[in-house]
Amino acid sequence: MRAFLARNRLIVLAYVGMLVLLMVTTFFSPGFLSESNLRSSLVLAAFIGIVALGQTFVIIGGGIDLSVPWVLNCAAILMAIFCGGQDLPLLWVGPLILAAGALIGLVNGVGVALFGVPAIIMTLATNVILQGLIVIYTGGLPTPPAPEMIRYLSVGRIGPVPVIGILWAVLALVASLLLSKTAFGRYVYAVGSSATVAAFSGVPAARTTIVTYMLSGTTAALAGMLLTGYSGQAYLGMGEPYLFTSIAAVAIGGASILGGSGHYLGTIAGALVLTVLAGLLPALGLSTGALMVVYGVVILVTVTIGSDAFAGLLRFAMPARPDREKRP
Amino acid sequence: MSLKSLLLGGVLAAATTLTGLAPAAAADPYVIYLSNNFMGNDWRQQMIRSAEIATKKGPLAGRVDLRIEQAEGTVQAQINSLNNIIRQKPHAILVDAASVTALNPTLKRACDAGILVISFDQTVDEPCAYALSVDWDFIPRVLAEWVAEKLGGKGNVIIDRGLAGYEASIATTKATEEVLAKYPDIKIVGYFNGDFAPGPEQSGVAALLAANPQVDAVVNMAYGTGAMQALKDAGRPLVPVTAFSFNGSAVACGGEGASCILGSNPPFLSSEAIKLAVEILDTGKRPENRAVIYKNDFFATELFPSKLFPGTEVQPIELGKNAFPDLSPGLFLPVSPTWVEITPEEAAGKS
Repeated sequence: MRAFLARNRLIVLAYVGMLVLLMVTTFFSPGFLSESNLRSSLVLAAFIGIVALGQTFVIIGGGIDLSVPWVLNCAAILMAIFCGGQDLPLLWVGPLILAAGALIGLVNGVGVALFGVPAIIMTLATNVILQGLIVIYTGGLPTPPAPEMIRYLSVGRIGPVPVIGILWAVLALVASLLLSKTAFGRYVYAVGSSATVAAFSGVPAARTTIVTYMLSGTTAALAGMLLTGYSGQAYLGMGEPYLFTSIAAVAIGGASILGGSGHYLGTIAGALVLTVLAGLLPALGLSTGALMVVYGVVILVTVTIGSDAFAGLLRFAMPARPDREKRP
Repeated sequence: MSLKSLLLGGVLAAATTLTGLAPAAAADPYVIYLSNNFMGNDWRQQMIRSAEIATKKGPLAGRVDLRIEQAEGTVQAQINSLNNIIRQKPHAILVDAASVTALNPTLKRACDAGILVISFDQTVDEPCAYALSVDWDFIPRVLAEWVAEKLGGKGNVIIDRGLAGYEASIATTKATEEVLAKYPDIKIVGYFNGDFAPGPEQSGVAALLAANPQVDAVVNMAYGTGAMQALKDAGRPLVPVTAFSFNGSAVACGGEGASCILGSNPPFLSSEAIKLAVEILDTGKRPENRAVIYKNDFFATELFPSKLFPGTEVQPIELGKNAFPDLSPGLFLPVSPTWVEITPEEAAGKS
């Protein structure tokens, strides 16, 4: 148990932070723990969590994916147009859009891993290009409503549990197994720690990087389709909020933004922290500007508490008592 | 200039200039440029389509050589584009502006060159240019009055503050608060930022529902559908909702037995601007006031006689007639001015 805590200190901290925030929120917003609100919060957390899934792999692998907003937005708009409000086309449109998301990730990954374009530039460029392409393609025409099936996936529920919650749990399980139990997972950590060392140790570094970006493109596209179900329609700009939240969720979850460490279990806590925070802020009755300040400060504090520098500071301020530690 | 004098002057001016079109005077069509600074949303696209359609049929058919210039993104791009337009010496320039002030010197040069300049939707404050828009002070007041009447002057209301720091959002929020403040038993129990998008609206309302056991009405600055979904998800009754006239909102209100009122900022303001330009060019008579207010319609689930603004047009929502379940939820209503027929399909770009 102690070993587990030591190894996953940051992830545990993220969950503790989430619980503290939850208690504060319940104080200001008494209905927050009601079944219906927990359900709608879980749905919102799931969107962040799904976008942040791919982002987690990319960041652990030492990269960053800034193309998330418009991959998400393009997926949403194309899904709405191809389906035309009908369920049946979703059978081929759904897989097609996911594949397209993976393809965008492939482009990002190849640019970063094979051509050595810095990840920030590569994915930012993809983001802008996608934004332009979707405006050209649609001519700005308003899109049809979301198919009922996708609505069911994002706002429907089985008994008391939202469908998307179950979907998220399955994805979380797959992501965690990938990271912890497979060779690919170990490659991602290795590449994130040092691509050069990884390559010399026989890790297929380029291929691993490319696959992380493909995962990110796929999950962003999936989130785009589900988000269309949530709001009942796709609209330009719907991906914008998910750039910051997907990266913040990973960082709050204890991953190093420089790569090599972190876990999707932490990202889940990050997604929950951001959602609880979004539920707390309106209940405080602050002005819009003050809300933004609080939002930013809470995220900074959460990330800082988990940082190694902060842990070092703590050891300095409160040195561990040697008599206890050294007892045989 | 205060918004009220703007309203009064504008309505008078509009009344004197917009009453019917003079018979075709010139054989050659007027060359009119439309300068648009942004095409990244549904409203602007419908605005452009409305302008094109209004010059192809009805009283303006054959009267106008409409040339649309898209200046994407920056103020500087629009200034460059306007400079090119001025060199063509058209009869009139219509401009949906990137900035209230930054285009002023350029537009002044256009006026000095004898070109008629009409800014619309996002207007400019250059005195020589006309400013055609809906009244952003009047609309929220009617919506707030409707809420207060619906609640019988008593209840808890939550309010959408729109987009943080956006001028029209601030003005709208202030007008709403001022009207509601006249009802001592109406309490504003929370604010959220809907960001003019359904997702943030829905999560914002959901958060406030959790914080407030009793919410009796929701004032939205955009869709309203997110608010209704949040109410449903929370297992709350569908309380009165105000929003703006997206087709999806009207369909949802008309179809779900909700009680709604929708303000409108019709994209065919572009058509109205063309009509105003032709009117001035035909007769040489100019509106007395540079601010020309387009008196917008409201849509509601039932008739609502406003006491604050008697004579305000409120259309009952009727599916298939003024709200269209088969068309995109992102279509803006009403789709057509009264003097030329733009069909819903045309407005949605389907024909």
